[in-house]
Amino acid sequence: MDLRVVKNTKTKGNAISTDEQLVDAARSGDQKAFAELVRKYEARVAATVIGMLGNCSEADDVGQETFIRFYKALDSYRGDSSLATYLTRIAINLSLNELKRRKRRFSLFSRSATDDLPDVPDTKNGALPYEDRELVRWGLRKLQPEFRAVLVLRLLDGYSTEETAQILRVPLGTVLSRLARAQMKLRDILKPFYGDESCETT
Amino acid sequence: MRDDLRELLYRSFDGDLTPDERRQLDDALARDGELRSERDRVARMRKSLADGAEGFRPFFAERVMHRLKGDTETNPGLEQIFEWLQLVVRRVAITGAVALVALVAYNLSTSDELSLAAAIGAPTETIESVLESPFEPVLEQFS
Repeated sequence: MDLRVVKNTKTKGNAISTDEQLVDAARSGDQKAFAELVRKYEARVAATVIGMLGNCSEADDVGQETFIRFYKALDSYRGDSSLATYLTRIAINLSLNELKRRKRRFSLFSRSATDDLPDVPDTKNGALPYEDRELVRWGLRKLQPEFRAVLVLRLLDGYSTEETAQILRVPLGTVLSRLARAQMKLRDILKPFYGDESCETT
Repeated sequence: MRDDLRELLYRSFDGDLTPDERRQLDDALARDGELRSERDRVARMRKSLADGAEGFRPFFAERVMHRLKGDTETNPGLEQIFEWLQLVVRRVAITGAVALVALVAYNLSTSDELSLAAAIGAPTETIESVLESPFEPVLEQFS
């Protein structure tokens, strides 16, 4: 499909607002409509990709590739699932592929794919070294990809467990058990940073 | 903490408990302070994960459209200006660093001593010594 500016489309004056109309306009070659779709779903794709890969240049590339794949598949997109779910599925699959590539790359040096992540700074008294969010994200990237994926989809993207299962194309039971195990593993990774285990927090 | 209760606790966050299991967990939570503490920590961990998702660098949509068009000869838009500025700043920084290293190397090679002053090419004379030596005889004549 050739991208070109289609004049006098309904995108003028924000007349087009639904995904369906934007997709139709993009199919007929309206690049403004497609750019609007990119802007609309950029944040959601970013949450997925950066959650999986970290905030790095590869994440930006995978994000771009997600929309390019979608563009190439515009004609075959039937709207069976919502556009957000469809894009997230592409984004998560590309992220998992990127993690596999990383693992292969790092295995050459007998290192883990997550060893390149910055180390958490020393903690003086076992308290959280910096913001909770940063620490939890760091811990997330220490998890195996299949565990990371369920946490990203369920907690970062806010999909339901059913939607998560649909995106990953695995049974609901698998998602639920992976979710529980992923959180246990993450909790174990973060244990040293949460201070005295015997002290109850309120 | 018992492993079975811990597992129930973690499963409970996504609503994957039978009524019996829910009752068992609620009873355990009422009795066990450690389990309650764990519940609070996991809730905090989940909230931290859900909060504040990060975004891509600026001009993401422009980069996607640029790649789609495959056109590198388009008019310079904001993204091109942004990239051009990055390139210029990087080049200036590298050139400056190279010039600084060359200057330090030259200063050290032409100096007899190995010191910071010699490296940066600071003069060995002080203001007093400069003022004193040439003008002292002249000043004496006038006094």
